[in-house]
Amino acid sequence: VSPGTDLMSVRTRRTARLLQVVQGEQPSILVADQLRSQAGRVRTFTQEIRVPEGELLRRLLAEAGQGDEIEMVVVTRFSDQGYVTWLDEFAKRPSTREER
Amino acid sequence: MPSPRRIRIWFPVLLAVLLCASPVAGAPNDRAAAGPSGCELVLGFAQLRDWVTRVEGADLVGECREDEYHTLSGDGFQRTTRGLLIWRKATHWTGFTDGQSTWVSSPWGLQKRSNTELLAWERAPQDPVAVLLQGAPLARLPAPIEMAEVVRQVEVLHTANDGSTFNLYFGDMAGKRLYAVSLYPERGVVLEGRHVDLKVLHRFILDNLDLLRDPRVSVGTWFNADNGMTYLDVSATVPDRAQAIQLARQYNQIAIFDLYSFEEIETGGTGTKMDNLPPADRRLPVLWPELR
Repeated sequence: VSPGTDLMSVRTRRTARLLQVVQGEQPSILVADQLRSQAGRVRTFTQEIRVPEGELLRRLLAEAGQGDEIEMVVVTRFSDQGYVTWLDEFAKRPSTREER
Repeated sequence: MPSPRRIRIWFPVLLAVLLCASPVAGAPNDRAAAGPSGCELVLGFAQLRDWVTRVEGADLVGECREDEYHTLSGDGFQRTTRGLLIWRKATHWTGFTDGQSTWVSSPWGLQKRSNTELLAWERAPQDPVAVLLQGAPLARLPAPIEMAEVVRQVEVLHTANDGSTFNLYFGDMAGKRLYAVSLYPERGVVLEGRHVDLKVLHRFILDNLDLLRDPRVSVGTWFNADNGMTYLDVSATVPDRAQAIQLARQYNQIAIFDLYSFEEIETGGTGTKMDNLPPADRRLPVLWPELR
């Protein structure tokens, strides 16, 4: 979490496609969202989100894989020093096959 | 009939041009006969020769045959043993032709084309974005828009269109013949709702100034009607489709976005992070020295 005085924290819950779990000094995930405008135009948005919590990372590696749809809670904290985004929670969404 | 005053002003200029240009235009072979040591390639011409040599693996430009000379319009020319070096003052276009092909320098690297065709940004010289993005010196760029105005305009555009692509130098980029390439997924932010809080927008732009100071980089917003969230990101805005696709592939991106047609173009990448990914501020080719 970045230092500095809090300006605002934004907590969102959304579903995205997991592209990759990046391990290393600063673990993160890459996710892709399919965006659609009111006019029906589409584009792909990719985002890299930090996963600072070790237990969450272990769960991710155990429960989710590339291409899975995950429902996630993401927090972005804006401070006077900058902003930082991290994964706070996730749940793998059952695939169509699993739902049957 | 020119007035005496005009003649007084123009005569020394004309005389100087004639003195400079005559030996070159009238008797180029005389100069060449004087030997290559009598001239040299400097600045952009020397840089272009280095580029061509590095990229092509051979010195296709050759030695100079004359000093660089300028026409009344300010354009610069210099013949070499293998062709002609050209600098166009109005657009800061620098190129070399061997009579059949032309090599053009740009911040996207060295571009080669046939003499009978033009690159995308060459075809639209009236478009300041296309012209300036080819690597005009910083002094030729418009002054950056003030931060408060940037925030205000992005918010207005986003509210009106459910999205925006905004450049600190050129303003609204939507509808221009450019391609947005997402190179900075670690900088993206997702917010609840359609409305973007001005304080958050200001912070987002401020924190990405290291990238947005580059005139090839823009800030983007998009309201996703499917989940009611607004997405903020930073992307390169590239004037040439082939270059945009090449850049996206270089960084394994899934797609690019056509800002003119508002269509996504798949590029075949998977979106995963590549090994040895450069820091964000080194993912684009280095601009000309003025911006280094």
